[in-house]
Amino acid sequence: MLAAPPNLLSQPSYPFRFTGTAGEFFAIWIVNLFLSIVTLGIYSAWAKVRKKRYFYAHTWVADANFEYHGNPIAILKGRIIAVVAFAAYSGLSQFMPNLAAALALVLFAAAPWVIARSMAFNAVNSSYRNLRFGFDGNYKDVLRALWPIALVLMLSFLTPEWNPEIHPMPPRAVIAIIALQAVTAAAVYPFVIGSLKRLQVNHSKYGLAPFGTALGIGAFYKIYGVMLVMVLSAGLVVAVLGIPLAMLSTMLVPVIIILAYFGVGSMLIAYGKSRIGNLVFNNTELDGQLTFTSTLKLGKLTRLYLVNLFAILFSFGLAIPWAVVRVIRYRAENLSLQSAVPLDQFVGGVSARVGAAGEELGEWFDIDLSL
Amino acid sequence: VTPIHADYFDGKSATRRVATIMVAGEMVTVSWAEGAAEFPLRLTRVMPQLRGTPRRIEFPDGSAAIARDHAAVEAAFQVASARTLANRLESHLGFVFSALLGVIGAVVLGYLYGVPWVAREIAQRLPLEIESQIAEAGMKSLDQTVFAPTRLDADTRAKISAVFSELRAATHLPSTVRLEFRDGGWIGANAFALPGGVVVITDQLIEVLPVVDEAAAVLAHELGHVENRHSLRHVLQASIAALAAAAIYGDVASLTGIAVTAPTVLAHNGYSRDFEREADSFAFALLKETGRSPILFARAMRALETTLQEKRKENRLRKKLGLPEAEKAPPEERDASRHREFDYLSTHPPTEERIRAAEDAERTP
Repeated sequence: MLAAPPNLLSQPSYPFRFTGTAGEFFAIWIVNLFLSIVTLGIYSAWAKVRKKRYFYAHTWVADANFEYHGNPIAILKGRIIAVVAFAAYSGLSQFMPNLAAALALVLFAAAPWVIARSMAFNAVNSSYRNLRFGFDGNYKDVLRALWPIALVLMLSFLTPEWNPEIHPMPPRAVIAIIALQAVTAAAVYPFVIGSLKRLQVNHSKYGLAPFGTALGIGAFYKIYGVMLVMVLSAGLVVAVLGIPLAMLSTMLVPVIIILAYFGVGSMLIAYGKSRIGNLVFNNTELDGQLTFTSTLKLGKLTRLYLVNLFAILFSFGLAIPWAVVRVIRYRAENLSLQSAVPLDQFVGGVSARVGAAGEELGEWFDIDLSL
Repeated sequence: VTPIHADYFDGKSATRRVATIMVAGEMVTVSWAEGAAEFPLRLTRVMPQLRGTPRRIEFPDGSAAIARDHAAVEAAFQVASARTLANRLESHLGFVFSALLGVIGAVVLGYLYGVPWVAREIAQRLPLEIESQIAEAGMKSLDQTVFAPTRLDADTRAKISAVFSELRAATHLPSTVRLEFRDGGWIGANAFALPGGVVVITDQLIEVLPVVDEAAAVLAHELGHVENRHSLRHVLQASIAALAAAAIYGDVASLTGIAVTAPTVLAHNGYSRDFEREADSFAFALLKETGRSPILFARAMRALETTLQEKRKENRLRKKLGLPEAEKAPPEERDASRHREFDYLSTHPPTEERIRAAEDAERTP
């Protein structure tokens, strides 16, 4: 961790603010959706830019807002590549699992590049005070964060699913391998997420000023460890309270399952998002001059997610804009930056143009990379 | 000319300069407390408006101004018409409402007709052999987990196999389409059509339907699944529906895992019911073509339904007496044991409806 600046309390603090409204965003969202459907998805690239521009432009700190400059054509190109890769993978996995596995290997080998590209595309196309952000992480940097996933994949090659002739294997051994795989995945997950967050901060720039964090991986293990305990104790609570209730009336079973699923799900997501969000921001500095304070609360975020979930379900998805705005506003309200020096002093550089393929592939294959 | 109030950023530093912008003739002048800059009007770009956000004005040297007064900017730069189509649509309440109706209509029509149509078109263009890999894998895992070898005697099997061959010969299906006998284990009286054209019939089903022609009605139904490529279409429809849902719900990435599963499950089951109906009408036609009556299908359904009710009654009685359940109530085909309670959630149309359809098919020549 970086040494705390000497007079933290006397530093001016600038709160973040989100000024967008659910009504405005609903109009943008529904028009985006409509035009995307009418154009068979082609407009979705423009829709994405409008959405991001809206959220960036409504996020303010220290009398200035953020701006998004992504080029829809670049995003469209990336989206086409992503759709082709996705279609090829899902088609092959149904009919030619071996070829699909080969494609998965190729995609996995490309994943570090995809992630580095998407982080760069996002950074380069974001600006604050007309000064662009930047990202200079490369394939090797991301590989250093992702490599443990290869261990999990390698274990699956031991199962007869992949190699029925070579491995006549008793079911018990298969179960042992799968269990070993799950344990390995759980054990490396905090490392991968933590390394990615660290990489994202340490390779990002604002103008010419570098972001930095001295955050260790241990803190991530602590958070995910607590989440594991939460899952286990939630399971215990559901078992202790739910089973007697279910015995009373079978009608209650779906209600108990839904409430437990949504309640525990919301709380887990809220815990992960709030703790990791706070951890990363509170340990990030810009050029040794500027620090962040993030104060997301577990209880408040859980309620937000839970209400959002029910609102989205009961509105058949029409409450999505409202739900999204609520979360973003809460995120902004709980973030501030502290600077010992005037914000004016940061200096810009020239950022190279980055194609959008990486980011879109990342989005389609659902790799969540948001800081 | 009134000056426009704006924040000016030079693009080289993060310095914010409170400035005024004046447009005079062919030149734009930006002035702030300690300085000023001048740019040609034709190289100055006013970015399109986005609801509720300030206006960005870009100058040729990479600097930019952010102004809040859209009316003043549009008047000075004469860009009222520069509003993009999307922006005009977003600000027009009538259009927002039409877009809403359009999206709802598109989702409903896409669900009812679009997704099934696309899946059918794709399925028809793919050869049946493409599915056989999944069939072998599926059969293997079912054999390991659920099924046991058949207990039926060779004679019974031969009789049913002969009927199956006769039915298959009356279709356009290749001879690779085959019938397998298995002890159904806990799934009980059941019949499946696996991808690639493998039809599985359980011993328990044959026990409930000892009349060979009634079993033939069930086999005709399963051949309907094969002929119409239902398992492939199922996979395709699920993938297409999931992709569409992901595109629509993409805004709530972290919640998608929870929120999107519900509608996709409902969609999945709705499609299953359509497939059952399609397979039923195929079966009625095939039964007639091979000189049998569709009523056989109604009889088979009734027999299965009665067995199900009896098993349920027995289990209820046993529960009352505090005895353990004799046997799980056997689902009539796949998991239809729930269909009375959750009509929509069942993967099979209610049996009465299917029986009536069979009787109708009998009457129509």
